[in-house]
Amino acid sequence: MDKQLENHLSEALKRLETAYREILKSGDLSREGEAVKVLAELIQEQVQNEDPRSSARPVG
Amino acid sequence: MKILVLQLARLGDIYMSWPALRALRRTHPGAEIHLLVRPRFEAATRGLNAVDQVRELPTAELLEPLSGAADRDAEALGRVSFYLETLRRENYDRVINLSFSPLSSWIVKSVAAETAEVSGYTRHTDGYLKIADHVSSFFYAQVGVNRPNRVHLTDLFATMINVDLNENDWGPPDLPVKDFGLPDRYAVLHVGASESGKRVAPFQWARALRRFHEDVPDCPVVLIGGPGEKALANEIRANVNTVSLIDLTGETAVEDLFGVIAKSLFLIGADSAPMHMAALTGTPTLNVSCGDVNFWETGPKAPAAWIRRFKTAADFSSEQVGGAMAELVLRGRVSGWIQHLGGVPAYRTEEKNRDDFAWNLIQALYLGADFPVAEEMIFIQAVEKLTEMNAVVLEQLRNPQVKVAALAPLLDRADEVLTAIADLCPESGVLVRWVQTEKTRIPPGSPEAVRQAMTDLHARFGQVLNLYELTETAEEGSGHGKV
Repeated sequence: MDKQLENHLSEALKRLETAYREILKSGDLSREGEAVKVLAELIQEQVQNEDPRSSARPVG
Repeated sequence: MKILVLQLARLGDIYMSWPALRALRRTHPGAEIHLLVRPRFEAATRGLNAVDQVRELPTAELLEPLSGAADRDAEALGRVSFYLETLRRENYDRVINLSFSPLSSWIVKSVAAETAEVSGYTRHTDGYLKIADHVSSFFYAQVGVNRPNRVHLTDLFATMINVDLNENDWGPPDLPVKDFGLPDRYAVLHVGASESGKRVAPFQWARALRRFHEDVPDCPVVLIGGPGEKALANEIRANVNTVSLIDLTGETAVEDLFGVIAKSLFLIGADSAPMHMAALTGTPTLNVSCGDVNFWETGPKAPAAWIRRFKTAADFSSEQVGGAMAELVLRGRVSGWIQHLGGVPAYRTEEKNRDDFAWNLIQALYLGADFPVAEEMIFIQAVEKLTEMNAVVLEQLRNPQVKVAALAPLLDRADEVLTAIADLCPESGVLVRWVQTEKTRIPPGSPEAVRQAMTDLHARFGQVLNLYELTETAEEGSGHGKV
């Protein structure tokens, strides 16, 4: 992956994780929180060289 | 009934899902079945008549707003929300997640209605992983490379969908067969692999082909692979001048390979999608398995299939592989290789496997078999440590003076200790991962309800550990019986 693209995605990931923590503070998970996590995980896969089969990855 | 199946892994995983999907169609003939895959791997759904609609996760479109420096997070989130809403509006009655990944768990959480029946990873309302069924808990705890699981993914998928496979669930797709002008008799060699670490070097394949043709001089070999594997094929051809080779690398769509493989004498290759296609066509298969692979889980499932394991691709033996190719053609069998026999586990190996004890432990924990006798002192010692730790945890859980809030750091520390013990004694990892996974399955609830669930779990854990407790009167080994 292009280094610049990877940087953009990594920065976006940090912003999304911060956003998710804020959403959780407000109570139960919302549709917005789910969308944030879906987007964050899509990015996570890209910056880790997309390993869509993650049988042994920790899921937290 | 409307059913969504998620299979967001790679080509080979999609092909390994075909039998279970066909069984799902067979047992639910009137259902509308949708299959969600990644666009890159959509080709592996062509010819799969068991599903009514193949949906593609639009990853590139969803991520596009984030590919530049400008802050377009809201736009990206808008696209994701819109996409999830389109799936949600399908109102699936059942959602089956065959992808064991964080991403898939969040998609399921978001799109499954509250009344939908869910199998596979999803999320609790607090965002923590929810492992909805026993098969998924088994997968989470025991499946993967360097783990002692011996249940093939094809069988796991079927069990998750709650179907029994039969011979009708195998078979090639109903697709027109493209004519590549191949001879009546040929073998197929897949020159690549799903990952570089599994790939055999071209010169090694060339030597194996020359060895094959010492005994079987009249059998052409068709080389298959994607466009990116053309260079590998060229190098093989440059190193082989006594063998008739037909190079189809980069010349075929993925689904065209079904026709090529189906008419061949056999397919040989590394761990990759063509191997799983050969399982569907029933073509004899030789799997050269290199690197970090759990062949029990992802090996070839053609009725006549054999596996040769090499620790690394560098250990590949052209003599052994070329000789096996010849033996298969001349005698219809291969000696000295791991053989596919069907059933669970699916393979027979002559070598005593150091994971035998761990696999027997898995069968005891999950399938009700007798707990195996422990022969290694290191395992007994690991169990002693686990027992000590578990006793401390139980004492605290059962002590009403200890407030629930004070338990969390204790339980976290206990988890660290359990993991450390499992690292030192991998066989004990089966037990550790079992209890850690079961803990994950405790749903959100009142502090007291969670406390009680944890207490019950650790009590069960203690019962299992107790089977291996050495006593002064213990005689031949320790551990036998059921819990």
